[in-house]
Amino acid sequence: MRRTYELALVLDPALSDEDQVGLVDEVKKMVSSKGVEVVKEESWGKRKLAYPVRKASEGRYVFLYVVAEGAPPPVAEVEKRLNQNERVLRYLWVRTDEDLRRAMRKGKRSVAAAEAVGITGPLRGGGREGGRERSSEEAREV
Amino acid sequence: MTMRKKVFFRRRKVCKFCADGIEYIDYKDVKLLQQYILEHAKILPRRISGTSARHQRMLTDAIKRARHLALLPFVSE
Repeated sequence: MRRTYELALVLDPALSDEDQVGLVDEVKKMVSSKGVEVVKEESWGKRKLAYPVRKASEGRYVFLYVVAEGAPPPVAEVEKRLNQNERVLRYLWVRTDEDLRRAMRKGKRSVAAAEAVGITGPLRGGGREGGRERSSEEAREV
Repeated sequence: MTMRKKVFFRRRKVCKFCADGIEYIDYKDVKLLQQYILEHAKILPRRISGTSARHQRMLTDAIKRARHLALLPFVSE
């Protein structure tokens, strides 16, 4: 089974660009294991936070797109180490494959997050509006 | 007793996401999510926005994720 994830990181704004690269590489190494690969990295640079986090008013936003074939990524271990690292203000793991597959199958719009992890689907060019969800969809492999 | 018939002219609300065929609401799409929070940063109720139940669920999940990452506020002022 091919699962896809996103790992969002909000890093200390005091880091230099080089430090950021180093830290992100470290995280990528933690995430990568057999069958688990970071396929895309997206950086927003420094961005103002909506509210202060640990006295910081800005954060460096980085998003890692992860594809896992077979075994899932070591989420718990990565979280433990991110919690210990005070340069990481916030993080968020999101499993995206089910939602993205459904979106690409039923939606009319292409989804950037799906393209990043190589999920493609037959986009409907118009037609039926607001289709019903079907429970069997979860089990269906695309 | 006078009975007066009240006449309302209300525009039919349509779910923007259904109309646009959007099936995935990304927590990173701050610009979009901002349109669905009130000035005090509360989530806009669907009774006002007309968002379908399914899309409102996706929307609230996305807003809550964005809040955790400090992309959106929990409260403001």
